[in-house]
Amino acid sequence: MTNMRTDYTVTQECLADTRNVRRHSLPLADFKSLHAEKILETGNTMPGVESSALTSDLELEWKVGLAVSSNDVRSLNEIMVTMNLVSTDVSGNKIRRPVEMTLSQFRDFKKSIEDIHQHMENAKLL
Amino acid sequence: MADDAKCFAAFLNGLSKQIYFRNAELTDNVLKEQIYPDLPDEDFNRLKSRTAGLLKSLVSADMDMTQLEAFLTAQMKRKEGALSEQQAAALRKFWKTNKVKIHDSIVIQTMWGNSLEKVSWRVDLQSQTRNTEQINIPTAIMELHLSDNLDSSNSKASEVVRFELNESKLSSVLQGMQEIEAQINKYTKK
Repeated sequence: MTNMRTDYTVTQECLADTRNVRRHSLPLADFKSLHAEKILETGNTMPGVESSALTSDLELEWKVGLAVSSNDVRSLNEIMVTMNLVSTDVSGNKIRRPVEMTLSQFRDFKKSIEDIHQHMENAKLL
Repeated sequence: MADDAKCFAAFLNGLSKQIYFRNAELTDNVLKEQIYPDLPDEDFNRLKSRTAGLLKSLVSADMDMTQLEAFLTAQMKRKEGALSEQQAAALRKFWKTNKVKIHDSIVIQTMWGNSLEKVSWRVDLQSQTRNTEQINIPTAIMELHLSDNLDSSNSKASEVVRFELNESKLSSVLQGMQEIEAQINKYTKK
């Protein structure tokens, strides 16, 4: 019985502060394990591939604030989104990384997540 | 003099770059040599402090065009050190082009925590071979580049965090973000 396997990887680098999107579709080399062991060079910065280095857990704590005033600008009036990226390390400890963003930075980040979600939906149909 | 307006416009640009974009190369000396080489030092210093004061008022109130007009009119009517027509015109043009840029630059300078520099991601499709049925499980691998704004001159304080998320985890992240957006929209509509 021959086992046929096709795996498809969509690689996309999406910068948080621009709307430029580059798409590369690459067929992966034939591999024998369930996880990608080798990534073909794309010339973009690729996420690390060792599964042990990746956390599979991400929770969001967040708050939305309004920066009313500052020493330079008395009428600042900027909406600021602060997120706590909560991940769990190998020993089960929670690591919290706070990140602050302006409204437009937040919207770009949200768009990235929406794009990823869309690609995951599309990948299931392959 | 047409020159006066041009010089003033150049001065506004240079001064704002020095003050609001933190360009350390544009010192007062550089600005004077490039724009007002023949002006006596004392006059230059007076001009600089007056112009910086004007800019400060504009930036601090984040003036819109209406407020700007009222401000310019008042400045032109002053008994001492009144603004000339050409200077007012140069200031008007300068503010129209640079208002948002300067405001955004200051906002970034008021962020003293971590900020998100870059997001890279990849979607992998995992399929099993030993079973007869093919199971397509998508996995998202994300790389977030965080930088520490407190030390913006030194980009060494940069952290890269990697996540591997399955669909349900990513969906809950997306849901969180949609709630944030909903709250923001609720607030801005008020």
